[in-house]
Amino acid sequence: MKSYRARLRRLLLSMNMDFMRRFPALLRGCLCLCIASCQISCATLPQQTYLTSASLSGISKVAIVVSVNAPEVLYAKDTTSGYTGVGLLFGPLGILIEIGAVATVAAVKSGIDQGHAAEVKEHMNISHFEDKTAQSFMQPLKKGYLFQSVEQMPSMNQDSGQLHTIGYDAVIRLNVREISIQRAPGDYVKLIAYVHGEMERLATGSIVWDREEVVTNPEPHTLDYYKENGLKELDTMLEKAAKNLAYDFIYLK
Amino acid sequence: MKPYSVYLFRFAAVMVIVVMFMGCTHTITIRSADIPLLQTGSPLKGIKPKTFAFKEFRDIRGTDALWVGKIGDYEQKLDQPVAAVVAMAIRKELERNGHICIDYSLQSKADFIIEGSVYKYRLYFDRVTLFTSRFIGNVAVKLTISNTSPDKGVLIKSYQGESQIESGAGFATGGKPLVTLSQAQLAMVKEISTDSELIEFIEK
Repeated sequence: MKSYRARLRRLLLSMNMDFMRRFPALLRGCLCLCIASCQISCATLPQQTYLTSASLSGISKVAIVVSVNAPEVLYAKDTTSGYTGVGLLFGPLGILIEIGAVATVAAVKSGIDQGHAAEVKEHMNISHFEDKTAQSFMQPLKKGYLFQSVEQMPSMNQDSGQLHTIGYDAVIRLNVREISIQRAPGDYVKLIAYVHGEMERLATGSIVWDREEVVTNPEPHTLDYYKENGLKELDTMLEKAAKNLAYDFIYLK
Repeated sequence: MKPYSVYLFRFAAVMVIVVMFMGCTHTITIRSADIPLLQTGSPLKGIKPKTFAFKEFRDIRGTDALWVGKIGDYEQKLDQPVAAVVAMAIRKELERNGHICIDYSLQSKADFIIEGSVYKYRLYFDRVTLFTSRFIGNVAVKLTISNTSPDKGVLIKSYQGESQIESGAGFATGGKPLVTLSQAQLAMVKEISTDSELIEFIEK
């Protein structure tokens, strides 16, 4: 009987049933708040500033600055990480084992992904993507005769005051914030590009246009496919993102 | 030291509560009116106004007409059938760009007849690590757009939109399901609204 009781006690202790009793009341409160806040997830649609015809009045000379974020160009996330919550059924130890197992798998995958990312990064020519994005954006603008002149500036030359001094009315900054390769189910990966665009009226410093364009390739492909065709796919995606952003100017609200 | 029966009782009580919550499925209804309209520029605006007659869209997902996903114990449903919400979103986008949209009837006079089959309208939750997760939304429709003038042809094309929102550990409350779904639907509408093949077909 005694050994049964001892075993039961050990079992209960292993399940941390009485660990809360050892916490002071304040800590208990904090723990509850932490758990509760983890469960609450609020969100709103990202704030964007859209153009109106009034926003463009008095703007005739526009500078375009395009940048592609090189260091964070590629990263991978796992859509099949495998947290099942089964560990919960086996108490704290079960959770720890599950965390350990999943973290190990994630670390291995992350290592592989980083290797692939470095490989793709090596082949990427950042200035090519900057030029491609700029051309895809400027072409429709020039066709639409919206401004007297639209010129691409080298990335270094993007100081607003300096641009104003040399006669520009506004600067449009396009930034390829992130290009990510994501794992998809069944050994496939997806390519996603986030392009941010903003227009600053140089006389006042006000931002009259602020938008983000997210482009995903319609169908996932294998990593081998991207090793072969990734740069071409990325070209198409950036062209599409830049065109969509340019439509804001051509077809005003 | 309290008797073991007290610990045992507490343990049993906690387990009963956990099992009760595991068994319960709650339903969250997403108001379709809360899904915003697209506000970006569209080449549809550059076309001479046309009249589009909408046939009733079909939902071919093989699920309940209102169902969009299950996140944890929370069933996510729309307040209107998914097919109707998608049709309305496309209608509003055409109207926003100066076109006229009407319901299809044999007597209706329109330049184009639009039929649609919604084959994806789904929201799901993906735990990336123990403390990070994301909501993923997928919306896809296959459109059949027929020009009512003889010999002008039919355009059959699928359009889809996807959205992902990073989240913390939890998923129980908050507006992330609505935002994820809204962004996915807006992305799909944008695909339609900026599709050069469609613009060319309408302008023909």
